[in-house]
Amino acid sequence: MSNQLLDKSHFKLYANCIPVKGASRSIICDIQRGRYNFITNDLYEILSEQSDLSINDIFSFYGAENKEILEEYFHFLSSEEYIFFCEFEELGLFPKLDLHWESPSIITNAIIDVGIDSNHNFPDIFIQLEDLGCKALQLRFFTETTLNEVSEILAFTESSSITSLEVIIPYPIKVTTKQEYISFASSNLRLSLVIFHSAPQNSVLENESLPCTYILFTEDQINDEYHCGVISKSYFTLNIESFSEAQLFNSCLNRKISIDKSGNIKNCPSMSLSYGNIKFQTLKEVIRMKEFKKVWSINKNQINICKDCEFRYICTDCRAFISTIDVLSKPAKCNYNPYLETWEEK
Amino acid sequence: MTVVIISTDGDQSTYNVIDWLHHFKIKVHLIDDKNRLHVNSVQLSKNNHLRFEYDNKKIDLMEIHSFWHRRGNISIAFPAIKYLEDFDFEKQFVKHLDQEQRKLKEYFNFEFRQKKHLGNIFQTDINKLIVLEKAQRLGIAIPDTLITSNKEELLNFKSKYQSIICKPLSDGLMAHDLEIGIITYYTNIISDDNLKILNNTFTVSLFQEKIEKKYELRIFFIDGDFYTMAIFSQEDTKTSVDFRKYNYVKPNRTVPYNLPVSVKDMLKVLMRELNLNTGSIDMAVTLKNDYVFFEINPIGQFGMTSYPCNYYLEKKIANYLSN
Ligand code: SF4
Ligand code: SF4
Repeated sequence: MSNQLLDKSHFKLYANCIPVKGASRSIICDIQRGRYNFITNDLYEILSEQSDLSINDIFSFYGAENKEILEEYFHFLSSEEYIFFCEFEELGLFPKLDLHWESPSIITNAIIDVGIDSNHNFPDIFIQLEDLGCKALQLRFFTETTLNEVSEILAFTESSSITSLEVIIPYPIKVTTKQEYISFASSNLRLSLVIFHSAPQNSVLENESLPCTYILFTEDQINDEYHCGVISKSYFTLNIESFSEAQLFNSCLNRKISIDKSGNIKNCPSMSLSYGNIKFQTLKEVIRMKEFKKVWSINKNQINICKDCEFRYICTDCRAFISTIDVLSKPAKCNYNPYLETWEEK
Repeated sequence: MTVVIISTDGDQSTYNVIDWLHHFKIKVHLIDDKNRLHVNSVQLSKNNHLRFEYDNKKIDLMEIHSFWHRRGNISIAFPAIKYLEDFDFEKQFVKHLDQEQRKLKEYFNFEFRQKKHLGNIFQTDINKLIVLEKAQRLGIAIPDTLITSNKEELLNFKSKYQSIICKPLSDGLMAHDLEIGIITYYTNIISDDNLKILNNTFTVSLFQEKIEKKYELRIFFIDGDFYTMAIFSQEDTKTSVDFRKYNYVKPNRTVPYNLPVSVKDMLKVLMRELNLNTGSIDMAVTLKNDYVFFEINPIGQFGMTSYPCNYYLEKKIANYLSN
């Protein structure tokens, strides 16, 4: 590294490695490789404010007493391939990544809940979603159902624009063999995730034959819409689509539409506000209402506490469960304190 | 407004562009290789009238606003009578039918190109050597290139440059065989061991000096605009010869790049001379900061440039087709 430091006068962050500053520490989001790393807020300053300075100027700015630590910083940044060394003339050749987000779809994702009294007209709903360009669909079954029944519903998506399907189903009462699980999952190639809730134990079904579908079992009883909105490190997503969308839009609710177990059309089934019922309204009619789209643009830069959090562009938001009555308050199910850098146990 | 797209079945980039066209409320006819085109009637008169059918949908050329040749080719349904080719007479007859179909196809392409169009149906199989020669004539730097079947000549070439590569004159090769496995042939460095086992003469092949690259450039060109991505492939020896031998564990850094205006100007002339209004151009920046040109892929895998650089090229293509 020290050789490189000598040969080249400047350094440049790769455009897809983006530092995000938090209240007491920062992270570098490596959007390309889908990972992040913690850095100090001092290093954040160097990367964002002083990135046009030559390396020599940075060293002299911080003085001899900081030389060692700076060398360590540069070594870390180049060994992780967050930066490369270059000449002054090259700086202008590498623009920042344009982080604007847009989509040809009016609705990009949807949730449909099925409870004991649900009576959804699935073929019609799927046609409506197709018309809106919806790509991702989550179906949640809160009460007993059979794999056959679910397969039949999923079959209605066959000719739609949906590319990713997730289903959450209660653990079957009837003894089910591994082969039956696999043949269920392979009955629809769009299935990317199947979760069986209320299972005897947490486990993952090993299956080499379906590399693109995850089949999981969880002890959690997902028997109503309360089981959502948990914020955890393991739910962080890091890719260019979600990162750019989170800049100006809500990372959970943007371009989402939901139908709850009673047919109410909502932003998300866990929210109390309904904009109509699928029996009487079309999804399009609801989307035309200005009010419906309001939550789409509540972004992390506006949400209290989150706006000071280094995870704000990789964390999915939740607006259904929030900590106070203030619509801009932090998700209630987040235990992270960005001022103390700690995850509090509940 | 209607757009006709010619593509192959399952091409995701095509579907992404179609999503944007639908967003702009534009009707799309996708002609892929699943079906053949049925010609209903062509009236050659003052007001040309060309009508055809595809996948049971009737299409009238007059209603088509623009046309995108993404990849693949159209095939026109012709009598499916099977002739034995044993006799010269039948052979000639089949040949004649082929010619008939070809002429009709040419005419279709001609008509399509009268419309606003993207891609050039006659240029998908572009000739690397002609492109290199044209580029050089325009003052664009290219790697020193030798085509030979003679070992001595190759040895001289190799001693002139520290390192040389061999690459196919046509496209890369990927061959599967149950016994042998997968053989790929893209770009390879010629080692001294390779040379040792070579006979005095061999199949005529293309050799180039190996350019020491600071970074590679993948440039998507559409209607005068350039969208460039730099690929840092040198960090990792596994990928430093050909980026397509992709390294999945730690993918090469791919970032947006500002192509200098002087380079853009030369490339614009080259594209015009090749009669291409879109394509993917491969170049590299050398350790001495020179821009060296390698090749153009008229089909252009724009998805691999669009996504990492957030360029939304799918939308730009849809915009072009609908304006
Ligand atoms: S807003 Fe909260 S409860 Fe609703 S879908 Fe998003 S995370 Fe779940
Ligand atoms: S504070 Fe906000 S941004 Fe940070 S982890 Fe919690 S919910 Fe996510």
